[in-house]
Amino acid sequence: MKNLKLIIVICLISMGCISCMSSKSLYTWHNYEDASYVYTKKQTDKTLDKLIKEYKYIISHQKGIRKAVPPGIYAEYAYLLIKMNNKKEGIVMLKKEVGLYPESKMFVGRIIKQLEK
Amino acid sequence: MRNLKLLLSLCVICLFFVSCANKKSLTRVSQYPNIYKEKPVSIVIMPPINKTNFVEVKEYFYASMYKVLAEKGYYVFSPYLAMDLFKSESAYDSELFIKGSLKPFRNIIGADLALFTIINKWEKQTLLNKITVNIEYIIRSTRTGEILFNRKGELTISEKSSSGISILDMAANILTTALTDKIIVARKCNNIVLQDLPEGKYGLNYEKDQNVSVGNKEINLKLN
Repeated sequence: MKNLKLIIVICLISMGCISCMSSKSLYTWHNYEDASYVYTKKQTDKTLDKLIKEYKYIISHQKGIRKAVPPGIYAEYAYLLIKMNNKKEGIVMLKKEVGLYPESKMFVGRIIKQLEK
Repeated sequence: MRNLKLLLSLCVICLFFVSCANKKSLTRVSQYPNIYKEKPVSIVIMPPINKTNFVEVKEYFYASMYKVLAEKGYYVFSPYLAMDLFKSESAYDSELFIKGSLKPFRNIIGADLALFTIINKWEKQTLLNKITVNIEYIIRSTRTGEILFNRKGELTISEKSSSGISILDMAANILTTALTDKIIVARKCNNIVLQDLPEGKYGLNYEKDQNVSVGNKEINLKLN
């Protein structure tokens, strides 16, 4: 009887571990999806400000498995910074995207070149 | 009586083996072999093809696939940047590319894959508290033009009446529009349909998920 209880406890712990492992995300997204959706629906200073705050949070609080900023986030943040006439910081973010994700070099590198002309 | 029990036991064992055999035949590698051969790293999301009467759906739905693809381990080109490029290069209508050459996307963006979506249904029946989306997902190789992944999902979510009085629920719905929006259902549909996609370079199970079971090509789900 004692052994049976022990087996059940071990099974429960194992199941708990497996479910935790499979549910963990590669990246931390915080409220990015909602902020991005609301901004797409209605582009105002308020929705833009919320989205900018999301990028800052995502960049500085990565608790996902990879502990890295998700692909495209630096580039997207840069896009909005450039739209807000902050070209200098925008280029810095674009370079971070290429540094972290070399696959983006062809596309993002071309944008950097155009901005630096 | 003993024989009957034996027969029942045999039936249960047979059913178990049949179900296992069926599952085994539908794996990621059997359904999407060329994804494993090509080893794509990056994916660009094409503007959705909208077959509904809601014009704005195209823009609203577009970015919703970004997170699920990144979580699958792919490099996903930023939807804002990609959309800006599509608009400036007159590539906003994916109908022009869904069957055509994808070489420009390989040569200009550097994408290995292009994801096309066709939104067939995007409805909210307020009186029934029911939201339905029907979306087809087609992933093509920009190298060969071949379709590497093709699944369709119809997802209906019915919200159970919490108060029992539908008018009150409707009022509550209006207050919580942001949370009960059709986009939430579309995101769930993305997650369900794209979960069968083999993992990309940054995924934990990259090149280790060949034998993971996959679902049917067409999914029709009703959730409460």
